[in-house]
Amino acid sequence: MTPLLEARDLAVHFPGPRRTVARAVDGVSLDWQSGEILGVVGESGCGKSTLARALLGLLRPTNGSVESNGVAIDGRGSLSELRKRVQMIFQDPYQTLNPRQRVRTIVAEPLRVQHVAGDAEARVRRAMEDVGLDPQRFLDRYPHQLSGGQRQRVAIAASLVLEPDGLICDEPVSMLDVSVRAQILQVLMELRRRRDLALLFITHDLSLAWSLCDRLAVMYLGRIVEQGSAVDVIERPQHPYTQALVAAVPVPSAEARIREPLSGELPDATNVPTGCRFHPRCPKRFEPCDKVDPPLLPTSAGQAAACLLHDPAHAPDAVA
Amino acid sequence: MSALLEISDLRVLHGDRPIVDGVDLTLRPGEALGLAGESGCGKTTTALALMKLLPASFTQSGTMTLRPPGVEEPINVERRTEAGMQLVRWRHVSLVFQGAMNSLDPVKRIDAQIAQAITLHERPQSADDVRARIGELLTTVGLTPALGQRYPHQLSGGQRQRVMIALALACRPSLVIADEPTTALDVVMQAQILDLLERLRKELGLALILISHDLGVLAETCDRIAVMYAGRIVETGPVREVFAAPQHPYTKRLLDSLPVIGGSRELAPPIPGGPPDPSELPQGCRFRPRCPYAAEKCLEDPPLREVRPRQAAACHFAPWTEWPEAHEAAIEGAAG
Repeated sequence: MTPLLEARDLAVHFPGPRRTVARAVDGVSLDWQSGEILGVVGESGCGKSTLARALLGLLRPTNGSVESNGVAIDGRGSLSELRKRVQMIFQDPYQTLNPRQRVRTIVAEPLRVQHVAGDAEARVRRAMEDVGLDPQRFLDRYPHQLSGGQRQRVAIAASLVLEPDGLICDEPVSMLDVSVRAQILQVLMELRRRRDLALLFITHDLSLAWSLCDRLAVMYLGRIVEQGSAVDVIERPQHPYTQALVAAVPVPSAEARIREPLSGELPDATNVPTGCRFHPRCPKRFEPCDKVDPPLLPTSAGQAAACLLHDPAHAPDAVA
Repeated sequence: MSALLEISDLRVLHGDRPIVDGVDLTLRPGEALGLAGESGCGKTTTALALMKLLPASFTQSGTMTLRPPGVEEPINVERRTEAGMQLVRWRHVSLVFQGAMNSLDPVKRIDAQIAQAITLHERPQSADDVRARIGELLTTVGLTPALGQRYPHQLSGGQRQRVMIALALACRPSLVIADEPTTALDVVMQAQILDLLERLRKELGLALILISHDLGVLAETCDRIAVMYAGRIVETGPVREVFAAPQHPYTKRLLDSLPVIGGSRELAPPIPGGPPDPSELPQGCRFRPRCPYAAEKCLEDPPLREVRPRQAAACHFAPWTEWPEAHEAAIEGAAG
């Protein structure tokens, strides 16, 4: 497998108030393989959306690099090539569709921007059929004549019209009702199966990430704290933060469950704690956690975790 | 114990479109009822009708009786005028609505906003009493009293939602209606707010109507659940029973479409189509066009009836002991 996108030590910093620096993404290395469904999960403010935008070249990295097929994404030329290979859909299709354009114009837009020659109408129709919208009925509608689910389908169709290899989905279903959400997920899974489309899911929904993704990266304050197969990470989390996230998921089951919610809130990215970023909220912190920044290391469970409990140089034997 | 709230045959029309179409609900003191369903099913309209907060373009009928503890005469909400309702809202029933945390006054300190809510209903009190009560309310919702000196923009989303809950509790109501109180929040914050609601229920004996499209949230917080579809309750019963053995195909398919960690990673086939437009309701069972088990009989309206002990469903074929392999409903314009 070749990576579709490769981030090396990527950092995106923003100027904060009073000369502070918000370290939204702060040293992330990540491979997204061709045909793979990769999930990036974490709370709002953890940097997952910033990471997605930096991967697509929508934000200039402060440090580190993004490569696609061994080519660094920096100047305009490589960006334009990247857009043909990787597209993005957003959480809110209400805000991303131009209300004054018909569906046919919206879906064809990327073809115009990228100066793609050939039969645009045929490509638009094919993209619409791929997302389960009958071109006959929908081509001439305006966004306000569509339901929420139909709008998200149009957004997906517009992202497919260039026949990309990968689609970055930033919370693609979090605003949709349960039954509509299931329909959209089915469309995406079908695209993966038929076109071998790679998907990068940015989400705070752990159950969803667990059921859809091949691999998962858990982010906390700009860093990946755990990474591995989705099943390993969610069913046997190794980092105390992932453990707390999984425990917080409300479960629609008949069983009552005892929950131990994580106390406190995600710190501000302008004020990153020393040592392990999670240590002030961590129920398992020990002596050097406030001083030593833990590297992402392989654990015995299979996935990698950035926690001193799994670092042989520091771990107290009994705790891990 | 007599019911705290009894709603009988509640109907709400928007123009001539039925939004809520014959809803019956009862709530015991201290009970938590979950109202589930997708956008447009009438769950928020039901709550607003109970508070008589619907805009003038809506008309409502049906009876709604409140019996708050310590109040001798039952309150007939449906007969109350606007002036009369002002004595009910916040004092007996309060509402925490979706996105409420963004409705705090941005130019007023938190303590001033809470003071306003306290003095709205209770007899004039000394400044010291009010201050003490503000501190007490903030502590109750898990905030430090010092936070009262801040402005809304200085608080996080979770903290603002806690302030909204403090406001809802200011006049010591016996019922709080929370409409999607955690939808805008992350899992961790959501867990914290749900724990808070649960603790308040125990400590204050508060009854709760929790409105959410998130069945997981309702499962963890409620005693009983009512599932709404196209303006009606299609299934109701104790949360555990309904989740363990749903008795309406809609409930069953909703539950199936949610991945549950540790269960099957396979996505269940989604429910095709979308809910009907209230002005074009299908004949008979309203779920019929989307139901994989629909048959001739479903052209008749199924009444909500008890099909298992304490569990009621509006389906001709209930009780369901097993769910046969579903044949997909073929419906017009399947894209929802």
